[in-house]
Amino acid sequence: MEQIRFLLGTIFILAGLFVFGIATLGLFRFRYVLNRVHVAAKCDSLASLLVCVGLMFYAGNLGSILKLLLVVILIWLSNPVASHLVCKIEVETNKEIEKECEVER
Amino acid sequence: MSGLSEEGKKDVKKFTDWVNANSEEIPPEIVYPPKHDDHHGHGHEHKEIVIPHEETLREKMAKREHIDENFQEEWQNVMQKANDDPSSPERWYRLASSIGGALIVLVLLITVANLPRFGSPDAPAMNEVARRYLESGLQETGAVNSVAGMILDYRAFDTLGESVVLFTATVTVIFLLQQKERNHNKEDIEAVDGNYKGIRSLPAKVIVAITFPFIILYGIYIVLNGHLSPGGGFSGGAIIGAGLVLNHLVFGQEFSEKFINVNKCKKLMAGGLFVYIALKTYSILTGANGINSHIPLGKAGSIFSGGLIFPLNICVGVVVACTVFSLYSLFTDWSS
Repeated sequence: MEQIRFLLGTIFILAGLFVFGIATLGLFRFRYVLNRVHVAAKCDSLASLLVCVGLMFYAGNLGSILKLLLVVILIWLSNPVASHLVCKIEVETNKEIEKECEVER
Repeated sequence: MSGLSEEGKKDVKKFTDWVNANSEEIPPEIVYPPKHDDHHGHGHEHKEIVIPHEETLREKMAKREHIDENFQEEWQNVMQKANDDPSSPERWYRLASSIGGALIVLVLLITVANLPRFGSPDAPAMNEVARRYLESGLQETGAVNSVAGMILDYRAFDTLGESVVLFTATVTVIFLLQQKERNHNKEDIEAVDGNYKGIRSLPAKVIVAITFPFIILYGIYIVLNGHLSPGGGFSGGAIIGAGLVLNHLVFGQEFSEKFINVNKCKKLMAGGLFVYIALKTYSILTGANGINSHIPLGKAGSIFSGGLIFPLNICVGVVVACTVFSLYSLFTDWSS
């Protein structure tokens, strides 16, 4: 039972690290703000969820699991909004936004 | 929705109405009464009432760029004068400042070269003071968190200095900004900046409305639990201040002033410092003269323990939170 628990936790954490790696790669490879925000927002949300689930398997007791759940909720509330605001500022202030993408006015 | 009582439904309705009223749509320019082409030659018979639409960010930036250009021109003129005139004080100031900077760098490099090796037993950091803090800190201060015992009991005077530095920074900014307001035409400034009405983004408003109480609650928890767990006045106060700044950023000046404004901040900071000084003066005077101060240390580990550390933490937290918030709002609010 213990071994299965640790195996599951390790699998989840490794998957999270893989997604974090993709996010970092995308953050450095993409040139434009909106592409980079897209990578940072989506991959970070998924990866932090995976890592936290892995840590829940490791932790075992209920108190730690609930605390990790709170961390996930906080990240899922704040990360999309922060990314949304960065995109909004870019669309509102970039004078040549039409060159990069189509914008609904 | 179906499980809610009548009052709950009313509250939900109120909230959705409020969100709709503050949504991101920009009202169009309305001209009343509407223009008619056939009235063109008859002069002005009626006055037009123009309701301007809210300024977009891009228009604001255009105005700002204009102001920045004027400032840059003035600055370039000053620098040009300094370059042309060999006896101007600007030149001497530049020479003196570069020599002074080089001297400071030299002194710092010599000091670093003479430092003892990291972790060596002869280092001044390894003397008996640190050992005493760790060995008998719990007995003498009653605080489980030895850092809190150190900064708010053994070295409380040092912490008072840190809080006064924050207070002084705020007071200095208030003085400087009042001067700026006197020199410039206030209406010009308000035409550019206006009264900050909050962010035009629905998701940010909803999420901050949900999380804001929890941020403040967490900050208060860290301040009150300072003598039991890592944290204390400085970190908890920073969290509370950041929460207030977030509230101001998202909901605007008018809503934020319902909680706190700069004037309240000034009073709270002065009050916090005064309470700190009064409590610590009592404790130092009684301790130095060998009088029993009658401050119970309490049972180590419970919330009411650690003697004066608990109230002092609250004072520091109030001062830090007010500093963070007032340094932000002094630069955004013009009415204060």
